[in-house]
Amino acid sequence: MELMPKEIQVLFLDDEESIIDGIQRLFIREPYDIFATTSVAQAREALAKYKIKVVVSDYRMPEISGTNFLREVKDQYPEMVKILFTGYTDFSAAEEAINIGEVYRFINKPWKTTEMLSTIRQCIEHYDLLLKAKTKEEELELSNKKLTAMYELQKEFTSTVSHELRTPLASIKTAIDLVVRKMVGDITPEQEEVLGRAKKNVDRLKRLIDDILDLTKMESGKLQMNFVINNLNQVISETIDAQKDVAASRGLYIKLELDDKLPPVPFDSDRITQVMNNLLNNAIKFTKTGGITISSVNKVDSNHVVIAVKDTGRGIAQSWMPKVFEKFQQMESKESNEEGGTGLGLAICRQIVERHGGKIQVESQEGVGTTFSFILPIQERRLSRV
Amino acid sequence: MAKILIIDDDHDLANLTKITLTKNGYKVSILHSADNITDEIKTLKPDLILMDIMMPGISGAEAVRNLKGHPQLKSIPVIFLTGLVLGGEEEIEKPGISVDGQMYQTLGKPYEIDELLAVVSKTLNG
Repeated sequence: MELMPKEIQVLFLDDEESIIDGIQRLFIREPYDIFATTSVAQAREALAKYKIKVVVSDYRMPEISGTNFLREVKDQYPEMVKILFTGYTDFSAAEEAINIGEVYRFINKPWKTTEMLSTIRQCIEHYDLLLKAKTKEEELELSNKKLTAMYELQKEFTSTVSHELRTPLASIKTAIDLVVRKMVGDITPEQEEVLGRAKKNVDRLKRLIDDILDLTKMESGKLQMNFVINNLNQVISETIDAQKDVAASRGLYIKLELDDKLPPVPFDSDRITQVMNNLLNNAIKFTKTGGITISSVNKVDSNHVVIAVKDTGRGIAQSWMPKVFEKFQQMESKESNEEGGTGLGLAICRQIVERHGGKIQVESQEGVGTTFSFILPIQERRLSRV
Repeated sequence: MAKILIIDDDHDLANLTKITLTKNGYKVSILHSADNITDEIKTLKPDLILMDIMMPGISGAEAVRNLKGHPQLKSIPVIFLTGLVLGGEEEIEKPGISVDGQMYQTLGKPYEIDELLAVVSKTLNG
């Protein structure tokens, strides 16, 4: 069997030759090697030369006190584990050694072989664990720094791209709007139709840019929320008032089932309006016959309110359900692409609801309909829990 | 007839905005930069300034600061017209942009014509 040279991992310093001899014999069978010496100069050389993990020093030596030697080690090699090796039960020496040299253990003279070996083993283990933890910590710090830098870059990129897109888009939109609205003269019905299609797509592009920015802000937690304790039913009614004509023009009913006993809850009115608009838009878009029922329910016992938008539309295929709230996931539709969405609406809804401490979910059956519902926590309960 | 001054380095949008406002009865002038415009503004005497923010040279926010330093110009209302949304020196918060603690009406680019007309009329009349 070929013997691998053992690594020197432990340093012993003691001014007594006999002790050093004894120590050297003691460690022959250990998986590591030791460096044992009576000379402080040699000990210092060994510290610089080998990858020492554990330093064991005698307390009383003519050249230097054990405390001072270990302090020296601490200052130069802070990661090394230090042991004071002493024949005296001297509490003030022990205290001093702990305070000044950050001594991790003591070994008493005369020593017991098993105790000595197990103490040194434990100290090596301790060193290895600390080193591992330190490396992990450094790795984490580094990846954290990288992430922060990447985030800043992304934010800057999004902001710049957004500005660069908006500027030309603004001219295109205003130009088209001026013509479509006949503010710069009459146009033929055919011209109106052609430009109408351009307008619809310019507006869609505008929504897309807005949604991307919104989502970027939300995902990075940079979106300021303005929570005010308010009446949710009122916000729901207002959203519906704004959209009921669209629903009516498609022959769809809109039914309201609002709970009068809904407690006031804290929410950002603009953002919840955005959620309601998104859900209602989707419901109208995917429903050909029947209609939409909007409900609010006070679930005071489970400390939240539930808002639901239920349609009698074509439903969502089971395979699509897990992707519903993901970015840029749009159900393919053969029937219509008349009102192309941005593919971001539901991702935004989820962000908004979650920022409220709530949850959004979907239930659907193909050919029967879809229900999107979200819960918002009631404040009093939330506060009392804190 | 109320006089409006548009300050925007984007010639296309400035001219389209001018058409929109002119068709609605306003008298409109355009400047394509906010650099050294104090004298011109003194001559034009606008009732309202529509100001872009990100322009080469002096930014819209700096231009507003400069106006504040002139007794004759400091009371001219300013509406920011900008494609800027995230970050930068002036982050848009509702209901507008704040420069040195004062809030200004802000219209995002691209704007809706009705929005533009509403903000302009509201700022001029109240």
